[in-house]
Amino acid sequence: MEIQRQNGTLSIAGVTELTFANAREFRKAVMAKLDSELKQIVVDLSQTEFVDGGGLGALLMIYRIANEKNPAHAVRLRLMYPQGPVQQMLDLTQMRHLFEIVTATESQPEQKKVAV
Amino acid sequence: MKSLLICPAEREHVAALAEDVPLATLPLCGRSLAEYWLVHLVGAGAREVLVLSSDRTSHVHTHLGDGARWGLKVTVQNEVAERTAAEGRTKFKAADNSNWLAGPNDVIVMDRLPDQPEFPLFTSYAGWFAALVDHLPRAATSDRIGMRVLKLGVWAGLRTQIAPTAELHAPCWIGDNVRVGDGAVIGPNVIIESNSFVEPRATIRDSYVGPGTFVGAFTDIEQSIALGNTLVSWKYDSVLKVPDEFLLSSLDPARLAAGGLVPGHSLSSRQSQPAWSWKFNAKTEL
Repeated sequence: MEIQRQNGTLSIAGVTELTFANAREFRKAVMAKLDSELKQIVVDLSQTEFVDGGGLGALLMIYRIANEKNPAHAVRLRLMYPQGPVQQMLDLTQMRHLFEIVTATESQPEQKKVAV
Repeated sequence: MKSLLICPAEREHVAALAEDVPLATLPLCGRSLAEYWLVHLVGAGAREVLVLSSDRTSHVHTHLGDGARWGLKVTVQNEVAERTAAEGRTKFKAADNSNWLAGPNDVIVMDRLPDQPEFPLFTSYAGWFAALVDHLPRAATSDRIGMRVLKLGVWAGLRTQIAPTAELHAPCWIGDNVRVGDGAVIGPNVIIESNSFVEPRATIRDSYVGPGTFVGAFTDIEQSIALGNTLVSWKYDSVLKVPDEFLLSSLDPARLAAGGLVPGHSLSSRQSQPAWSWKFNAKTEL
């Protein structure tokens, strides 16, 4: 997993699965990078093959803590390019109401790399 | 008069539909494809039907029995592979050419519903669902015991309980012994098969929920086919095995056991003991 911080954006990529088994490790690694200057968290899900309730719980926890550390402004959490089954899991749990979900069809291929 | 019914075997484009039962016995608005065809053949004058099956033949045999339910003599025969209609005519009709129904009712490959020759069922998940939605308004025939029209385009079966605060949008079909919880949104274009359980605030639109499926609270099933914990997006042609049983799972004890759940698990008691307090009145208990 790669975590990069540039200006107000925290970018997370290379997550092959996000499940109950690795949710705690994921949460700890990301939460160490959260601070009061953060504006958005971008999670690249293009390589993620599997997500379960534990993984979604970790995303919710990160989102909540990031916003608690930034009472002055809302921190966005963007989920980029989820593949079929992961997209289905996000749809099933209505995550679109909380997070911004960007699908591959909504963006041109050259724009796929998230500007940080 | 005789007729030959050929059950569909493996169909790679809709493989997830046949995980638990053969395609010929999967319920479509409470009645299997084989049952629809037997009713059709009775109407056409058949008295004797040979059913060829190459996928879980014992299940097909158990499902259809000897045909007495339809006033037919039904024989289920196992085959190594699915035959075409031409092969069926050559092998079975040519050998004994007396007393057969006229074509096309003499030999039938069950790859569509009898009233929908223009809707092939097994070319894609989207096609299968489109056929089902098209069939839905005609499914409530007079021989469906206990089936009621709750409002125009909304049917509910025997012993089905729907919370007063649930929203039902036509067209939708809710089978027998289904429970729908407070604030759930069902429809439009929804089929919920028998013995399923929809928890409060769940939303189901443009979807099929298979028999004995548990749909958890606040889950959102749209443009999908849910069979136990298998969720098929017919829109994206994508299949997901939902890992969290509180979101989507099977209430079938055999399937639960196959999934490794221990007896006495909370799921086992869901049907008999709802997780929320029901506020039914006499009108909502169907």
